[in-house]
Amino acid sequence: MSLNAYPFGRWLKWAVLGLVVLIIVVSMVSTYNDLVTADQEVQKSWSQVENVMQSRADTVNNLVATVKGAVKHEEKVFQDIAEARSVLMSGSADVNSKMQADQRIADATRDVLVLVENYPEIKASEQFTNLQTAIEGSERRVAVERKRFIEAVQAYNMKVTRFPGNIIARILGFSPKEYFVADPEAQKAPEITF
Amino acid sequence: MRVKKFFRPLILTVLILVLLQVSVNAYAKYPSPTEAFFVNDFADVLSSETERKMYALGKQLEDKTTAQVVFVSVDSVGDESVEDYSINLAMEWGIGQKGKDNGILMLFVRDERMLRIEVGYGLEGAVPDIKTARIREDYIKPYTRHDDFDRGFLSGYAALVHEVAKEYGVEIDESIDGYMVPPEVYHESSDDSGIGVVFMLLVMFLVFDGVFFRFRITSAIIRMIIWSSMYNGRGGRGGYGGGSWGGGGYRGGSWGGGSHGSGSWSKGGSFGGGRSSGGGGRFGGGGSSGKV
Repeated sequence: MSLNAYPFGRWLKWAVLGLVVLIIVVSMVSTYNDLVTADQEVQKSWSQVENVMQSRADTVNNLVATVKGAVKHEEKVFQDIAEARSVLMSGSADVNSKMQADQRIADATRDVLVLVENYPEIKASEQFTNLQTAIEGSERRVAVERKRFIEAVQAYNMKVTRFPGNIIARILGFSPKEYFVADPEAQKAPEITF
Repeated sequence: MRVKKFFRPLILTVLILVLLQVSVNAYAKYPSPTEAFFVNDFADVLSSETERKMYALGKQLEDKTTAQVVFVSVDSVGDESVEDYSINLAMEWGIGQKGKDNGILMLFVRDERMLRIEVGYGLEGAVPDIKTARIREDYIKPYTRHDDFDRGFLSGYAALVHEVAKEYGVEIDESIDGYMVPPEVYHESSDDSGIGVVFMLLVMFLVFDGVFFRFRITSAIIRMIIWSSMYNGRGGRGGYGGGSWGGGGYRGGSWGGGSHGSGSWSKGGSFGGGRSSGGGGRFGGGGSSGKV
């Protein structure tokens, strides 16, 4: 037997070094691919958010149509909804203004539903019960898609800012994205009790 | 030796990287589906007769349409809202087919007496929110109001199944013959990140060994493997001992798998890696919930 304590040491050193280089190269390529995928995921989930926000606005619009006839003196809340809806429907508005418009719709919806408390004949109608379910459903959808959007942005940002991705991201020109952070109190779905 | 100068910082960098990758591994815990899949009565509110009937309906629907309607009852959902729990569970189990998103989850939470019907993207047209509320009010509540969960959930489940069948234009017959509920065996949750972790640990071990012991440990292991194979060759040892040395040989085998392993290493770095819910249908918050 040889007295050399590490006969494989020299060979192993180069093998490990090669392995390390290999890992760095592979992780660089995969980081780039990850960033592109994450960026696409953000775009995709945002268009999903826009869809459900618009359909929520439509549902609320139906609610307004049902209630408006009976309620004469509460024009402001209806006007709020109309304005916010036009922001949501516009192609040019950015992420933040759309998120805010959606929030205004949510707040205004709560006001309308409180208002309906004073009109038992509307409240009792089947049409209104169905609208109520539809509104809860669209709220839920907005919450789900918005959460996924925020998660997609966070995942992307984490990739862009976390070591070692940040080095590669900077070289390749990826930068973190800003996103709307809703006030946690306002993010709760309106409590509708009848 | 020039190599040494950048060898150690490089080694440390890689170690930190590996540690970062390993640390991103924590998931919320949801129960695994039972072998019956369509009926998962964790809160034990149904008789086995009802479970059998529901399973027959669900299996028949899947056979004819590929759509899946799944009933789950749980005691509580913890800190989460019923809605969040239900969508997360539905996504985690992959209810419905991938691409078709044709799954429905009927979730009953016993301590709140809440029922949520969660509808996958692909069935939102066939079973709109208002329909799910209707089914809850008209098919389920009349029975559950008197604590008759068996009849309530069975009739609600059947209503959902028929609604989906109608969408696909198929008939569901009520006889449950030919549909046996599998025994309640829980799935082992598979963890496919294992290979990546083993590989990372191996690399870390080699690096440590190289930096602090100049590969003495690895050299010793390799020498042992060679010795043991020599022993094996002579056949001087019992089968048992030879087998355990064979375990050492596995390490050597991992060496050869280097390129494959590093591929999965970089995959482990992607967000939410490891167990994914990619296998099934997607849900977008469709459906409704209410007390029953």
